[in-house]
Amino acid sequence: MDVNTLLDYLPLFAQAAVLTIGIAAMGVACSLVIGLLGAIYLYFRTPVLRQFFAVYIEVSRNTPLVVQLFFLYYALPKLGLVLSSAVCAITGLAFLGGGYMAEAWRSGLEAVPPLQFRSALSLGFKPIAALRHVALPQAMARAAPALTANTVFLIKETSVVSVVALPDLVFVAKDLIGASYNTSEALTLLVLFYLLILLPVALAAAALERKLRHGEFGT
Amino acid sequence: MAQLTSDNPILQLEDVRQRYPNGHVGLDGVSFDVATSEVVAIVGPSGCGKSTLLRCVNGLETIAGGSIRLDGQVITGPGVRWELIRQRVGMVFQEYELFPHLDVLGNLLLGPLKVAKEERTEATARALGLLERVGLADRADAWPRQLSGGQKQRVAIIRCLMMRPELLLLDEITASLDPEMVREVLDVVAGLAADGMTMLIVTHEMSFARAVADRVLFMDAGRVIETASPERFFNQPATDRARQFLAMFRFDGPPQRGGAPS
Ligand SMILES: Nc1ncnc2c1ncn2[C@@H]1O[C@H](COP(=O)(O)OP(=O)(O)O)[C@@H](O)[C@H]1O
Ligand SMILES: [Mg+2]
Repeated sequence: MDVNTLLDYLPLFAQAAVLTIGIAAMGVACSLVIGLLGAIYLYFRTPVLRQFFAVYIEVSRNTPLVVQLFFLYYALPKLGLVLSSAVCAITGLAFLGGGYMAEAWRSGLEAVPPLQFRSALSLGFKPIAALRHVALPQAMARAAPALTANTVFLIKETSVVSVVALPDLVFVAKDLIGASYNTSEALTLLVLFYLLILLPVALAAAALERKLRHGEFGT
Repeated sequence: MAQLTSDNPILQLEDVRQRYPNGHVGLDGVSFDVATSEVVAIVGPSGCGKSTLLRCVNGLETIAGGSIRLDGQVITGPGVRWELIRQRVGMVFQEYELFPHLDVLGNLLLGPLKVAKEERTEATARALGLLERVGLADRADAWPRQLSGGQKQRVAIIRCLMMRPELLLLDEITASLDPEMVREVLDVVAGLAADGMTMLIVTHEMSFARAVADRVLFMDAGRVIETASPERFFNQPATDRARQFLAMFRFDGPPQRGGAPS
């Protein structure tokens, strides 16, 4: 392993890391929102939308991300919809993550005793406000472990977005290996950069989880 | 049967009928009035529809017939803004239903801040005053999990009061408490009664009903079958059902054959 090669590659990896983080952040944020919406429709048993989300959850969780990305990048243009690589990657992550996040939110919501919701209503909250101020904060505390596990899972899943020609970390590593055969240096940096991204996320998630659970469950 | 109407009613129920989705009849034609500052105790065997009745008044169950008026205004039927009615009608449930993700002060402030859009400093001052009044001045920043059942119910009561309700519905609020905590909660309710709060109280604490209520409604099978002053109801119940019911609360040796104890 050559230290100079590592140093030479560093800026390229740093640049790719920024892209990976950006894609992951957008994908995770969208999937949290999609998942929350799905969970709310499932929780309130809203007709039509509930069935729609039930089907969506199954489809999203039972197809590999690579396949979803291929579809977005190669099949959609044939149907007249051309999306940029970044949009494909974010859409793919959001589509996959939305299904997992919906399940996480839903199990959190269902673990909140219905009487909590009724108590909020009896104070004069509208259902949507009761959800926001009473049910969701408690659901979040209960769903936190699953939500953070899904977040880490989605960040790891970004490692396949190079299939839609995005110059992310994996893309750069493959590129450098193909061009110069510095396999060990490139892969070492790849591992390091993923750790650099994921370790702080895992630590932040654990801290957030503690904070969310403190009130109800103690430390 | 005693006169069903009273002067200056704040709540008027007229032939209220309710049916659960499974077909079970919860209320089978209930009519009565509650006057301002009146305390009405509702008693009756388990399953007779007491909770259903309170939930109907608070819009947590939909009625199938009849009408309910609050301050003369009909609050049943389509297009009722229940979120507005419920600010005027507080309800405390049997199970401790404090919001576990908020501390005591947070529980008290949530409704005033998010529903009534009250000023935080003003609401906080009121909350601390109420805590003081129920003997919990030092528990403002405790979490619900750190409170005893009796303390939780006292907070639940003043959480309702924070919304300045015109009417309070209490559904067996001491039924889940350890016996030594019942008193501290009933003392709070008795204090409210003395202050003129209008209340509909479902309870199995007969001596409490007798001491605090202005009137007792006895329910059976979804109907009010007896309405009387506490004196009358507890000393000379008019119906056999009421006599049988009251007999269950007395222990005077092994059951006697033939009829209720006198
Ligand atoms: N959600 C429900 N669905 C069907 N039946 C119910 C439901 N809730 C209560 N009931 C029935 O309605 C009757 C009255 O219930 P409730 O008002 O809770 O009685 P109480 O409070 O007097 O004990 C009971 O027979 C009960 O089994
Ligand atoms: Mg009941």
